[in-house]
Amino acid sequence: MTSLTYLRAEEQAGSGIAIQPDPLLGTWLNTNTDTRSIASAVLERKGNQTVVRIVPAGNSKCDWGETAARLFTDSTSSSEAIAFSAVYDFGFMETSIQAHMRQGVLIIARFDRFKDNSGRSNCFSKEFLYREEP
Amino acid sequence: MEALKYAKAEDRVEQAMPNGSLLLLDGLSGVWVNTNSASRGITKVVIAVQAANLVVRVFGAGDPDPYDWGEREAEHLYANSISSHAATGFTVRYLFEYSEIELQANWNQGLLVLANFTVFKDGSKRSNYFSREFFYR
Repeated sequence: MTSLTYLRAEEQAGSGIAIQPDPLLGTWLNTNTDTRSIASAVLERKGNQTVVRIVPAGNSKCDWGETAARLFTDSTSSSEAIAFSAVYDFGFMETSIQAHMRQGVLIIARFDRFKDNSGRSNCFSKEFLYREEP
Repeated sequence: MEALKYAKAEDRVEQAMPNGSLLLLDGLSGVWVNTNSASRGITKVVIAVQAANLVVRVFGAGDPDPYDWGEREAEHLYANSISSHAATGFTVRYLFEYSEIELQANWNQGLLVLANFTVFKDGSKRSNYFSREFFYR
């Protein structure tokens, strides 16, 4: 008996090379200037790693800082990054960022999970960002 | 120095809600079918409420029979806001020998939107990939 190595027919092919972050790199700005959530996201290559820095709207005391981004393509045989995930742990709350690019827009799904017994519900939100031109 | 208690303005609540971590789950339960009948990804998701959690069963496209990924409990449940008590999203994780899949789901205008983040662990040189599909009840 052979062990299962895929769940979809298209998962059988591989790209053979590391995922290239270039399509995601740069500064992304929220399309909603009135957002009270994420104002911008900056993706950079640092050594062998891609890092994301989330800048929140308003209060600069809440700067999220940098964290490692895990890259994803749109198929097992592609090497071009079109999505990433990242996690921020603020102590009182853990936020998972899961983002993908579509038609030039970076769509960020944000999952906030509260750990402080404050009575706040875990919540999901979505933000849309466009790339800042150099 | 005061410890950080919020990361965006709307995370501030003036009054804590009693037992706010319990969310109503009924809005997500049922059989969800892919809006794309020719999908080669996930064809169907069955969601049931068990105790205080959601149990998710995923079926992938297969020939001749669909792949049954099996049942998993939702890892985390989410509402649309910190003051809402209705679950509108969840995450669930499938661990296979060769890959790890995180599914994140959210309900939007009657559709269940399912994002799939697949990470390969088997050294097969397949790229980790993302996909997103839409389901109706």
